[in-house]
Amino acid sequence: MNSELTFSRQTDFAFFHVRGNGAAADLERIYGDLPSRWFRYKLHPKGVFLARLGDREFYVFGPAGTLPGTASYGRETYVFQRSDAVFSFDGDRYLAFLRELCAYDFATSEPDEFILANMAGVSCWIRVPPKRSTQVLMGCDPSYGNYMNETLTEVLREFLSALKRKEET
Amino acid sequence: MQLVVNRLPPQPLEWIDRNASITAKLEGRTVKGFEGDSITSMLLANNERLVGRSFKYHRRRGILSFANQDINALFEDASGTNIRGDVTAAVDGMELWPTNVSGSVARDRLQILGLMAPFLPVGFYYKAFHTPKSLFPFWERWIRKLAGLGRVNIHAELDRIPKRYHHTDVLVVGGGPAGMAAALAAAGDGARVTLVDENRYLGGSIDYQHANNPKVASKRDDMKSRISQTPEIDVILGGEASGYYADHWTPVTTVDGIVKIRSLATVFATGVFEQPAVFHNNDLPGIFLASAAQRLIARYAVKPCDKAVVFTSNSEGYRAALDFLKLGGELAGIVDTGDSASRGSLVSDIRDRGVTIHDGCMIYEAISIDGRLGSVVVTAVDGVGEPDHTQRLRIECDGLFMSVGWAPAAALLYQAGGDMCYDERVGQFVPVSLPEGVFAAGRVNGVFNLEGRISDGISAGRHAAGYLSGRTSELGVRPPRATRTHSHPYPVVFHPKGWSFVDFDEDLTFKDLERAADEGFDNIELLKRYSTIGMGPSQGKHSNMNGIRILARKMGQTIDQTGSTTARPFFHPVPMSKLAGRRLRPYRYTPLQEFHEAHNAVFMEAGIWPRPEYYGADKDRKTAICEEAREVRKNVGIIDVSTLGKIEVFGPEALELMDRIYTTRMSNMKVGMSRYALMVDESGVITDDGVAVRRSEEHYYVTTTTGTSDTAFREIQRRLIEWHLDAEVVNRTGQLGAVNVAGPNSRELLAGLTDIDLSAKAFPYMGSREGTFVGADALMIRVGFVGELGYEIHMAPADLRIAVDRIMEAGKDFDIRPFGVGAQRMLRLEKGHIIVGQDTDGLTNPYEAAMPWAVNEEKEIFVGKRSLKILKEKKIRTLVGFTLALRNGETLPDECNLVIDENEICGRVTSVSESPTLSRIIGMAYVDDETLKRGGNIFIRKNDGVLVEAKVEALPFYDPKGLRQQLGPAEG
Repeated sequence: MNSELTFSRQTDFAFFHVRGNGAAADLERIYGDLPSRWFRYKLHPKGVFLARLGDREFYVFGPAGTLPGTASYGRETYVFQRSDAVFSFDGDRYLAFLRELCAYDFATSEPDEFILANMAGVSCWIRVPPKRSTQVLMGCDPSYGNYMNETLTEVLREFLSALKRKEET
Repeated sequence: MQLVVNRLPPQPLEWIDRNASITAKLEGRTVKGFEGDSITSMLLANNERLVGRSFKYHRRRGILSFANQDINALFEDASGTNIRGDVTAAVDGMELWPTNVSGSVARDRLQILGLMAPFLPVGFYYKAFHTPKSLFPFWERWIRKLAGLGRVNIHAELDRIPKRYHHTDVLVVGGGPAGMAAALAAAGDGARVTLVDENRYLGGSIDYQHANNPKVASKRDDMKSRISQTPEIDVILGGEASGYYADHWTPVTTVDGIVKIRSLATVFATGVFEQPAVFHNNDLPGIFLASAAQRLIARYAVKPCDKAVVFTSNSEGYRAALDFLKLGGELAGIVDTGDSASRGSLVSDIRDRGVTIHDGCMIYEAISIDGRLGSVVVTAVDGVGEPDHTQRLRIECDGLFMSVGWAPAAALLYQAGGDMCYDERVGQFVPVSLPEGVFAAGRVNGVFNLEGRISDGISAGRHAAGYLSGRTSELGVRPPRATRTHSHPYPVVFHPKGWSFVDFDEDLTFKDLERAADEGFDNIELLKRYSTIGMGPSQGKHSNMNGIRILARKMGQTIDQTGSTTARPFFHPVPMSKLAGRRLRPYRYTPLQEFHEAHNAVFMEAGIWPRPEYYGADKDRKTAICEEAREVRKNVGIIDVSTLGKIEVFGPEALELMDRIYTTRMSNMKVGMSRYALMVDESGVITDDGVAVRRSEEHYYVTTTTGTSDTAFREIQRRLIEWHLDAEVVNRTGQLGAVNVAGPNSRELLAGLTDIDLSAKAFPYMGSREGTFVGADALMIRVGFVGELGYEIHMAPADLRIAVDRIMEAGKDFDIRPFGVGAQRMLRLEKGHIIVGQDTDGLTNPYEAAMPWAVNEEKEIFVGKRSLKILKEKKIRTLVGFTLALRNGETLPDECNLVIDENEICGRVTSVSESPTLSRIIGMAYVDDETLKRGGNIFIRKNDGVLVEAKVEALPFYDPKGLRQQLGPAEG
């Protein structure tokens, strides 16, 4: 098992919160396939993913410049730009690391799950790694970005050094 | 000098590493041990039999339970206190001192307290110190000095030990035979299992009660091996299940911190606590529980004593006797309270070794030589279970192993909501009903023989796994409980001298409990509180059962009629540092945090946001705030208002939702306009205010106060669900930043930075416009919280940072300066605008806050309407403005100072400040309407008790016609 767990803060992305009676139809028209169940996500080319939070509520996330603007949506759809603080973890130990700060049982989650949970006292969204990947993407309200960055950096440092100590002994 | 004298040859399952020697010190004396030793096993190996002093009488104490069930062996070192010697690993270089000692453990000056015992009866605190009253402080100081255990090192370094989470299908607490069997069975049925044990190794009692039993070895090895090879079983060793909480949450305290385990089902295979017999001097060093002696031998290869007597009421005592004999110890006799013929096959083996067994006898007293056990006095038991002094025998020994019974380790079962009753056949409390998903197995469940415990564990594990899939009823009934008791029904003997200890933690004797019952504390819960039985650090593990038995016999009741006390978390003491966990204290930054820091802001807390109170850390606070306020009035200033709550409300029925949520009418607001938005609860109390903007026919944007953004959002969401309206809400508080640019020059400054027409005609007061600001999307609202021409600009965080840089750049020509919350609060006070939470309290309604205009009584329905109708008629106080003049050197009243009328409280100050604009002191206060009706000035009592006179003034103090904010300089 790879004991490395890399952590980075994502900055160059576009992110929309799409709501309203027209949301599903508009997104289907723009992106094609949508997740059929709540709290699931679907990957699209170029690093774009769509997460479904309800019958008429979605997140659309992608690298900056990859997402169609608000003008692409119809009158019954409300599109709000999000500026979340987004973090990425990559490594086999991600499950153990998430247990340090989050009460959710990630061991039972499936590869296309998109979870809304409290992490380190802050409401976050967490994208469970897709199949054959160990990359967790998570985000929170940008005003908590500094706090989350500090907390995750510190806890990850402690986590890795504890892991190292354990491996050494 | 040979230090280690009591170490035995290697034992088959010993925990020590004989290749790794360690050296430690007790009170400066050197002791030697091995890695793997506990502190007390190392001490006993070095013949240090006196390990501590008792809590109240400072009696000499040795090892008793050699588990976490008594506190005879408590130590402290340079960094910590109350270190439990029985269960704490010895570490090379340790320097230890006994905790409750004045002087040294051998020569404790406070042992004199033993002589005062006749004057310290049970409940003496309650009886002795209330008269004369004047002496109470003296007694209090004296008792405080003597009482308590350990000294807290207040200079210790901050120790943050993380808490973490763990999830499992089935949690099994207890790694003995039943627990191991349960874990394997549950995993075999497809469950993810977590097996927790407080010891360093799995095995539990099977590893010390049967360490040398070849018949058991293969079963034990097989279970341990299968567990290690089953990936579905996570094993947490050295973890104490500290409590049980709803929904199967079990915190497990480990050396690395608390693991909060959530399971779908839980099996408690927590075993039993061995109970001491109660006789005179039963606390002498050298008197062990039999299981303690077995643990010392099996785990640490330490010989408990040279010449032992076993005092038993069950077969386990014979097993302990045999273990002692096998290691070469001299057994001076076995005292059996019953008939040895009923104790099973070990008896003949022991007899064959020439050991005398005294059937139908009991230990009447222990006799001390040099402060430790020297001999025991044995008497026969008469027909009613009392000692028959005509048949006495004294046996020389330096060790006594007590094996007279057990009490279930059922605290977690009780906490889970389980019902227990006393089973006369088993001789202990056993579960009669358990909540769904909770199972008990092994001795805690009343199953005692090894085969039965394993079967019971298998059954519990299968039931737990079955419970997950709803198959419980198909799995059939559980194995039967023990049919023969392993506990003496009353292992207590009266002795006139009275040093017969029931609770070793609290130095409580048999006499104490009898006396408490005589004094009327004849209910088990009352007895506990009055006598403090079970209230020490061991929480009754070794004392509650005997306490119940004593009370039951005293009152002529059954054990069930007497009942047991409530078991509360924590099962074992948990260090505060572990409870505290990491310091997770979320805070929020606005997008302009760097801007504030670059401009030398002095921050204040506004909820979890740091907000600039003023700019210029090198300046005097009052000067800085006044300068900033003057600049807004004269010129232009900019304030970060990103902390305001920002909520989008949209959808076909958004209008209806808005009308119902707020007291004002929102549905008749024109698109592109905004309106003051006041929220009250069902009782008419003000909970929030802000501004509502109508962005389109079906779309509103609402701001809330900084502190209530989350609660206001939740409330709107809750109402939306409750009312089934076709509308949606989104909380965008942190997703958008906002600034307010205010002052007579604001329009001129901003006009060149936006494509929105800022002219008064195109963008009137309370208007809102959407467009671009320095090239990025923005929403602008023309509001006047500070009473000047002003514009709020709401943008995405990254865009706002750029926009503010551009505003500051363009504002150089206008001498723009940022202003903080201090100036903002002063400016709004001049305008008589309230701040919810400061100028309102938990009872304030809009009529009292002088805002009847904010309530549209014509609306058909809105939250709080009925209450407001009633409150309007019953209004008794009003928020009014006041001014006052202070004499030289007098200080300002404080917010919250009381308003006094004829020596009665008639109101309180909510805001007060020295106004740089008006050059006088202004404020707002709630004043009783009766006082206001009489007219005249009001009096405010300051913190120093001085009354200052204040004049009631009409609000607002500044620009009463609102020309400056509504029209701006060009039109004004």
